[in-house]
Amino acid sequence: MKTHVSTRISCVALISLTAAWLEAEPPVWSAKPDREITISMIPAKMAYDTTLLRVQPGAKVKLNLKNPDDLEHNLVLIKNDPEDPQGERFAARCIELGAQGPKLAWTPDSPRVLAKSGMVGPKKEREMFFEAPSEPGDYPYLCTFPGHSKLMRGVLKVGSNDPIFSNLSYKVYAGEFRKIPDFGKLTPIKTGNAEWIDVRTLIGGEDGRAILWEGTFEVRTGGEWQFYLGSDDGAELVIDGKGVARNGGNYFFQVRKAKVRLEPGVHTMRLSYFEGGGPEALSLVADLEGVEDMIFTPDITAKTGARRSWAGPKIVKLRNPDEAMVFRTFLRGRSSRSIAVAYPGKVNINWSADSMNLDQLWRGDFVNAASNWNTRGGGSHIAGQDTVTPTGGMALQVLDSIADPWIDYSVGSSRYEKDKGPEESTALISYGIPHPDYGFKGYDLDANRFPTFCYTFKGVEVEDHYSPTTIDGIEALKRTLVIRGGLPPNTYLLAGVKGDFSELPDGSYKINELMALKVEGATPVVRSSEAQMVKPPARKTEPVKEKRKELLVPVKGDQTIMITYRWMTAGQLDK
Amino acid sequence: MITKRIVFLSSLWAGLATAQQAKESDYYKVTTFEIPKGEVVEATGFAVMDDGKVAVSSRRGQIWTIDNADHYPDKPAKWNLFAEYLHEPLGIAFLDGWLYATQRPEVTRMKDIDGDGRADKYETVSDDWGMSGDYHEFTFGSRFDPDGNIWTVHCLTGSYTSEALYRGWAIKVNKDGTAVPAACGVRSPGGIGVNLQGDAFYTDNQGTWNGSSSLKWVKPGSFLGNPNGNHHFKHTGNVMGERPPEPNYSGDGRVMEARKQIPTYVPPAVVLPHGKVGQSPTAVEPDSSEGKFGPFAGQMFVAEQTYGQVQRVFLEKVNGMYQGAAFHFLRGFSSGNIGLMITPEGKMYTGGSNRGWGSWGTKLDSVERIDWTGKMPFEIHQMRARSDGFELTFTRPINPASAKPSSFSCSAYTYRYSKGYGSPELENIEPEIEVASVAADGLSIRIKLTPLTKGHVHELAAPGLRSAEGLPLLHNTAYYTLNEIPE
Repeated sequence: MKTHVSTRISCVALISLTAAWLEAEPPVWSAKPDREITISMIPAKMAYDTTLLRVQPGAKVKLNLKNPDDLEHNLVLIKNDPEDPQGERFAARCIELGAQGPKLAWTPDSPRVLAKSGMVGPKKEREMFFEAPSEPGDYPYLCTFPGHSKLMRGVLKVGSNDPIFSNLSYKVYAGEFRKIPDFGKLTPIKTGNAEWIDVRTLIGGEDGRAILWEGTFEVRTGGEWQFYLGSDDGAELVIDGKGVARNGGNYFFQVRKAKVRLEPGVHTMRLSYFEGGGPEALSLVADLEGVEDMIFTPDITAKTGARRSWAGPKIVKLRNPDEAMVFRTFLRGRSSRSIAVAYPGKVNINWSADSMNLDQLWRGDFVNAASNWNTRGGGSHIAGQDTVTPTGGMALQVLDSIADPWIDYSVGSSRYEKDKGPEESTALISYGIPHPDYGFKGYDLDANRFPTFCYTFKGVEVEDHYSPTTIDGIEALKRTLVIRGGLPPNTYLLAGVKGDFSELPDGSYKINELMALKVEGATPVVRSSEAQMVKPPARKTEPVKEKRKELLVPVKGDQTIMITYRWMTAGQLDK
Repeated sequence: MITKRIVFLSSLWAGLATAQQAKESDYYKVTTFEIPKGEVVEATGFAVMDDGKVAVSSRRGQIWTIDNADHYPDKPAKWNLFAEYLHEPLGIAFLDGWLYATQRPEVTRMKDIDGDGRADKYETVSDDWGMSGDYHEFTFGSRFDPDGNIWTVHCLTGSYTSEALYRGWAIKVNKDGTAVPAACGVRSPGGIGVNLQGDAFYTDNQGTWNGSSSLKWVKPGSFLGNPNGNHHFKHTGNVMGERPPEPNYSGDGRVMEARKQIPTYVPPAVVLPHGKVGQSPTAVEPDSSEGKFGPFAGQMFVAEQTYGQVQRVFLEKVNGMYQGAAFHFLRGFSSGNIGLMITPEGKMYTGGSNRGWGSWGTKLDSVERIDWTGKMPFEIHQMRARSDGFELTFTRPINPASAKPSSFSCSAYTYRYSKGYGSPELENIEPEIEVASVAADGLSIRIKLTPLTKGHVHELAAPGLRSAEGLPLLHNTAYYTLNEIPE
């Protein structure tokens, strides 16, 4: 067998192999492969979305490898070896590459390698071309990055002599589909015969398609077969004229399960499917008491569940509409110690336990946790609107001179080190270190589960509480700051930054077109100043200086300060 | 991956007319809890509350309490949402009326003041470490040690570098709120626990400076192998002494070499050979049940995420260093295990998540309980290093006739200690095996190995060994990390 990719590799040993792959010319048949297949890594699942491929012996295959994951992966197709049918020993050999591994894309120079992709970086794609072996058999493919192969693997079946199907025909229809159509009334745009049910080959990437497959398949072992039908969008399975499972919806990938008693012999199947829009997927697997499987589609995730949690946005909602909810998370672009709070009335805040200060306010939906709950934990983002960032910096500071800059938060720095000693390091990195003046003490929840944040500043206890209200029918938040002790002279509270801070007739200060704030219990000071900012996340960045307007509240301690933040335009409450 | 599975009956024991192949489930029964409808409980930690309820933390941030957990499904389990949306708690403990959780930004203790079953007071015990916002900066916490400390262990940024304070360090957090850096050199932990002697151990995953995953002893003041967080020494106020010397950056170092070169370096106590004993070890928990959970009282158990398993570890101290053997214990869990607990009453709880890195068990989330059936499995009970080999003890008497050299096999190997990602098994040696003696009660034997290699994992299998009843070992292989050879 010939593999255009791998034969090229041996002659470019001194150049970066990854670059060599990119530059390698595709084979002459690349524009007209016998089969074009797309395999995608499933984000945060350590899996290929396609784990079984079938091709004819000698087929010229173009493989589009997509990697939406945030780790790098590869795909290596290897010869079958009865001593190592899963390729586990081969994967162990790849780990042996050790420090050479990254240079060699974790692929050893081995006669077992039939085709290799090179590393495909996060959010990257790559094409690979190979000719299938001429000898029928099962050829494993796997990701050889250390630790990935246990789960990232699949099988290329070449000239399989045990076809599940016989006489399988397909008809493809075009139209706007929201449910499984009545195929009798439609005219197909494409018809033909297929080896098996492969939705990607027929309509890869196209929206507004429906497909009907009809054929017979052979069951070798009789018994109660558990069928798993998964589809995005809808699908319906009929066996021997009887409905088995149906996914009606125009929705995300969903799985239906059904048990069917099948005797040995030939059975008829009719499988309907439609793709309204978005990604397409169809997965059909049957399992007999965990002993034997029948696989009808290249996609087996209906059974393995690898796709299950990918079901759209995850808006975090209040469990009880009268109670607040505290949600600690990475909030995109905000400080690492973010504490988001949703209040009744669709008003939300983010309070930072890095700066001990109010960080943001928004109204409408609370947070979307999909990018946190569906992945390795990358964080959530604000799901609502009309977000205002009133502050930026530690809550309190003693200003010996009113010209002193406000500090963002306490910053340490080091030489950046990665697998080399300090002498060889150049980059200076900055990161937060605990501020000696502050201690975050936690929060109490009241009867409505509204939190009161507690911290100390120079040993004095401070409580920071918020409650939603309305002013002229528009959302507002009332902040109550209780300082339990005397503070040094010239202590200020940072209540607003980067605002317009012009005074409005009601005594409040305009932040921007969306919001104004009003202070009771002290008289605010507006100043222009240069602040030392560390933009979160504080990685590999030096502090930057930023000129901005600030609204400061002089505080002497043993006092209560009320600040009202109100939106100035109608919001959710009108809807 | 699904392939057509072939069921075949092993002929290994064909000579034993009566012996059926013993199964793990004959000795330990797994009960899978039904997760409350509409909820996701990716179990990361367990604790027993003062009212006997089992608390379980979830990766999404909830802490649930379960009433009747020990008796489910005979009695219905009552789930109650005790706390909501902490920042990825990875370890919980209960002390003096407070539930403690180690979450990303801090160790927090919480309590239900108004008696509605939900915590309403959340107090920060310690937040003396940094976070850069990188998802990989996991923070795991132990239960309390006898001195009232929770040991926290902090993953590197992206598992490679240290771009926030004390990433790659272990910290000892006292219940009074004081926090002291305990060790540096951490790469990517999966869990941390305290043994019955009060020493902390955590699992570190294969990768840079970790040839294989292993169980490491957090000896106070030690360097645990990965140098990339050592630049934080300037923040320690010298409680950890001077920054350790740099390791061998050539890409071909060895643990034994590092031990000579770096005075504070502590090698892995027990290597969990990558691919052989799982590949993503997580929680660490001692068996404090004094026999209620079976024959392994005082030993350590380690959960495994990718393979969905629980392993068993026997530890001993030789020349001041911890070392010992890893054994398979149970496999086939429904998700990727992260949390683990063994109660004083002898119930094991585990559970986890297959989000992010996948797991052999395909369920997204799980909470499972393991009960000892009361039947005694035939297992290697303890494995101790001796000057010329090992002493093995067993949970049941052996058939002395089967204790012959041909019943055993042994290979010894080590790994690279380097900046490269992982390592193959290196310097393989096949020692000669001699059965030096068999105890009269059949409960222990002495094995002489020639040679014994300091620093190597000694993988000793005993497929031919039989119990007095003719049973083979339930798990016949031990993986002993020989850091020190006793006199």
